[in-house]
Amino acid sequence: MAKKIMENTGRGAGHIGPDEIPGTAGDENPGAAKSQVKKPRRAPIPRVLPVVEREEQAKPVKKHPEGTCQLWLGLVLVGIVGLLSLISVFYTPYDVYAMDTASRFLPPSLTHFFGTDNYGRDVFSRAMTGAGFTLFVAFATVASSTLISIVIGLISGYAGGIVDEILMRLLDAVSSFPGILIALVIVSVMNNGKYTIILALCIMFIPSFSRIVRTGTLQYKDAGFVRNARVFGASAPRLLFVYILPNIFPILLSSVVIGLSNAILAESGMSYLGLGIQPPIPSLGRMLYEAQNIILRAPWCALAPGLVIVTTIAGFHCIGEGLRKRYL
Amino acid sequence: MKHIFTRSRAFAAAAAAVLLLSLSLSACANTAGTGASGNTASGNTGSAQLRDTFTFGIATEVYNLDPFTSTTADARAVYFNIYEGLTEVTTDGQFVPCLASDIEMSDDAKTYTFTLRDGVKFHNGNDMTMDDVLWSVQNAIDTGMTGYSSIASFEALSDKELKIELSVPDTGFLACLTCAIVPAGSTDLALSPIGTGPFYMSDYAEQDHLTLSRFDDYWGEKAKLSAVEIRFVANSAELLMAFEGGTIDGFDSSSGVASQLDPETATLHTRNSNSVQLLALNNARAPFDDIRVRQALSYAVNADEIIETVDYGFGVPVGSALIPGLSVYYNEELADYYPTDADKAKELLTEAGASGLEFTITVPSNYQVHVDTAQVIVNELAAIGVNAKIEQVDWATWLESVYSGRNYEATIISVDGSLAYPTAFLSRYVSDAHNNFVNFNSAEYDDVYKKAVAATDENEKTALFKEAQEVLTKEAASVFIQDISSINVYSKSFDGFAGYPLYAYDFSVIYATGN
Amino acid sequence: MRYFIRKLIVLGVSIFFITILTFLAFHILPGDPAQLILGTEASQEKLEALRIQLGTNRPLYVQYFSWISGFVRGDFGTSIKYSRPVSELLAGRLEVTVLLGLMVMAITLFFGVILGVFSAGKNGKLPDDVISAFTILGTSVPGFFMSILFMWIFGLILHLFAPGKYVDYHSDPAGFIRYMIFPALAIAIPQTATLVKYIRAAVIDELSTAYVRTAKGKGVPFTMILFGHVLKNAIVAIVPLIGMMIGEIFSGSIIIEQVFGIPGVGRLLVSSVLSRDFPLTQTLVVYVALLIVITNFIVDLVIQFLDPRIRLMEEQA
Repeated sequence: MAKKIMENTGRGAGHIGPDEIPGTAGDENPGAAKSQVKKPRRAPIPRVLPVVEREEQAKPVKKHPEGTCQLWLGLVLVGIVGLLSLISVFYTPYDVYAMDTASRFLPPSLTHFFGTDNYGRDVFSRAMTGAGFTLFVAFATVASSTLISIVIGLISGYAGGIVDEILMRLLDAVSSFPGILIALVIVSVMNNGKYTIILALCIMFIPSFSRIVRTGTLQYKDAGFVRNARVFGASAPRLLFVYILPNIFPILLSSVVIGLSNAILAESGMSYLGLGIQPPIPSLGRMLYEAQNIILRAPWCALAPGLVIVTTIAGFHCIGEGLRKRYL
Repeated sequence: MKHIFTRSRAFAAAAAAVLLLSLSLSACANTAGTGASGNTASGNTGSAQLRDTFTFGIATEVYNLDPFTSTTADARAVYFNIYEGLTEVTTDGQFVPCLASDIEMSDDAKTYTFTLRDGVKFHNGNDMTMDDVLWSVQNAIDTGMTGYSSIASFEALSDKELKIELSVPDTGFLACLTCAIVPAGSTDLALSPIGTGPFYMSDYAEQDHLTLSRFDDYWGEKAKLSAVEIRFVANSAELLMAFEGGTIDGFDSSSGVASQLDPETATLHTRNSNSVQLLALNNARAPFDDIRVRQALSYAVNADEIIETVDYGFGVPVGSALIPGLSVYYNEELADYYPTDADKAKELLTEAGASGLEFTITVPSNYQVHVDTAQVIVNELAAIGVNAKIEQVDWATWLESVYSGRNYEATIISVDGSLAYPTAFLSRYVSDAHNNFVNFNSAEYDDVYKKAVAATDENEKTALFKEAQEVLTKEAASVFIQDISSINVYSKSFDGFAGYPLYAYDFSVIYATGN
Repeated sequence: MRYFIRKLIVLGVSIFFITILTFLAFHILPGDPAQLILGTEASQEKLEALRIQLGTNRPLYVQYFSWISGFVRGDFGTSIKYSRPVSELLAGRLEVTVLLGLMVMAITLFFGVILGVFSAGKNGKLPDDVISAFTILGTSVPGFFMSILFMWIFGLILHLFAPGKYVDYHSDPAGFIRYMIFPALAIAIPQTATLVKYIRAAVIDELSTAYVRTAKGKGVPFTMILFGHVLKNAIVAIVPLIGMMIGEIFSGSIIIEQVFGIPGVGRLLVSSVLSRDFPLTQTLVVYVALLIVITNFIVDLVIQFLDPRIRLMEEQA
């Protein structure tokens, strides 16, 4: 039994993996090799995503592969939000910025789906446009921080030793450094705008993403198929990007999905400190922030951005789950 | 961890019962006279006893009560209850004797003689003596308090009589003498303030609360409540929650929050914040160095709309650099000097070659009202084809880059007067004033202002101050918007309110209603 | 032991690096503490006098060296804003934040594990979907908004606590917990949601292994397999996550402490940064970093304890 558990912890760890495994530096370290009890997740044929023996696969083949339904649901949800924000570039039911004191605090009705805010602006129109800005910030943040993290994580995990130590300590420092200070500094160096927020969020996201990639790299760098490839003379970049990276995708996928929702939350947290997207440009987070002051009088002002955020995040979760089930 | 968890869950489950119990307990414990924190739950539960402590919430933090170094508006509003000067301001803006029982001014308005009041005690129990007064005046000169630079000499004529000689005649000097009298040799006023006011500070915790307790040896009419606890809350939404939940009995509210309150449960005491909110334009920066551009913006900005939208109709349009509260000096003809007129504005812009103007309004992010105003202004300027962008910065950055560094295009801020006197508002527009952050530069204005200060005849002085305001408005030094409202909300259990022409909370007049 | 010493050295270096980062940040940020105290009406002379009194007229690197040389000797300097020794200001605050953090951890772990395993067990069935929906909702509401909602619902409508009325834990531990449960929940909900997601994935993965099939084949009850064997292995997988959670719990508590009026480290940190209080910010940043690094260190130890493979590697290294 004990052996079984040992064997299988490796599989469990495959999802998140230990945060730090000091001492895995030496590639030719016989100890490291010996300790690699864990069997490789995939057969030594690269390029193809890992095939894992799963119970599901023993079942008769269904018409649709597992997860298709969720994938579609997610795509539809994100699609709706995406489409609305795309339409908002050309058309919104009302002007996003035009104020009208006469018609403020109107409750939701057929003319104003989500009512109007304290300036008499149509909340629905603003939520459409705001979704666009928020999605842009979230995607840009996650995309750029994932790319950077992949590089940092792969290098750190593969090189090991002093390089690894330095990179990890740097990331430690950044991650325990208060976000508000990072954001303030960036705002004072650059102008306050959406690229500033993206940069600030990116810096805050890189440490945890990099760590995930690094952990994954550590797990696979001494796996049989990687060693085989190395013996056949594959270069380090090839080993990293062709053999190791595809195996890390499953873990990365969950992180990306969570990262997207975190980015949306973080953007609204920045609004709380006045560092987010600058008014009157709407963003979902900023709309929520402004709604809290009038929550007793016009709770619907929080409803529209809230619903859009929930829909978007729900969509991401479904896509993530669907992809995981279907391909990984 | 598990242990704490199970405990907390149990509490959550039993919360209702425990809370009821604790509520009734704290209602009984209300007699404590020290005003320690904690006895302030909205405990009207059954007991007909009058509440003796009042809890007041503010959305900022007061952390330094030294009247000579801490001159922020919030600190002044609070230590108004702790310190007193030789004179004091009344609710209608008069300056009357306070720690001086009698004041004589020479005909040339250069020599003032004060007779000290008898029986005044400091919070440390000592009597106020001439030594304390002399030390305080010297300290005020040393720390550069407003107006004290014009003192040529001061001396004690006797134990009770003080003579102050000014280098220039100034009939408004009494306004400056509201500056605190403190015990001679005070060193730690920031954290242990000692004054002569109706309250002394009995407790303080950073970022949490400050407790003022009634000073029973006060020379004048004593405070009605035994203690007032001032709670520092993060922002206005939390103030609203704390008030509705009964944690605080009153708060300094933004009009947006106040407008959501049920008039059945809350009394609103509306007054002005006694500051001029303005869209400050950097006169030294193109294109705002062109008077036509500044005038165009004045025509485009609709103060009434801002007041209606941002201040829920509570604010007062000004049109001048002075607050209407100083009614004697305020030039009321200026309120409508620039009626909203988009065509005129566009015309002026075209003339100045600045149509399609783009600029950035830098706003301090901690002031929601200014951020909101900026949004309305951006919208109004769009109507004349001007594209303004908002950039929020934190207060420290604003102070250094915008206010001191004057590195900005436009900003929105309320300028308040540390004194209830025109010079406090108007001196900053003199070309070489250190706080002339709008870089206003007009020889005409400098001249009128200098004459106004020097004038000894009250009528002449008033006329000159009005003229000075007219120059500012005519030249559109900036866009003067409104005197923002400041609303003190009380629960129905308390009443008593005094509004002054300066930013102050007078806690001594608050009393419990027995509701 | 060697491992321990090495860790300590590394810790010292990281902390030093963090203080340098703070120094650089303050070097870049505009803002004059003297002017923040004096307000807008102060004259130049008055500002200069206060700067000299506070010591902020010295170049920042001089201030940095005086702070760090004091820090090594255990003297954290004097707060510029509050004109009190930093150590006095910190007294009591750290405990509040740590207690809050522990409450959050307890809630997160308890619900995260239970819901995660349960959800994995019901993979694809209705309860799983319900829990997924909760996960989505939990990660959709920004912290400050969740707090306002809590105050509104639990404070004003259900009267479970008095919003803004923080209870000191010395005077009334029960009242403290009764008040803190709501801010703790506000931070814990998104964390729980994340944890549920990870645990669910880890457990589902584990369920597809050979030994589970064997156990099933032998007729071991499913709940037995789930909580007896699978959970043990899945937990190893999520322990590292806790290290990351610590950081997130702390950054979450910064805003929550503002909203609920809790006198913790986070609230002081925001205030010190906004008032450009260099000694106070430096000390707080180091405190927070230490807190995070030490928890990560403990997490490492726990992982090694739980996972013999890593312990093996460690011994060989």
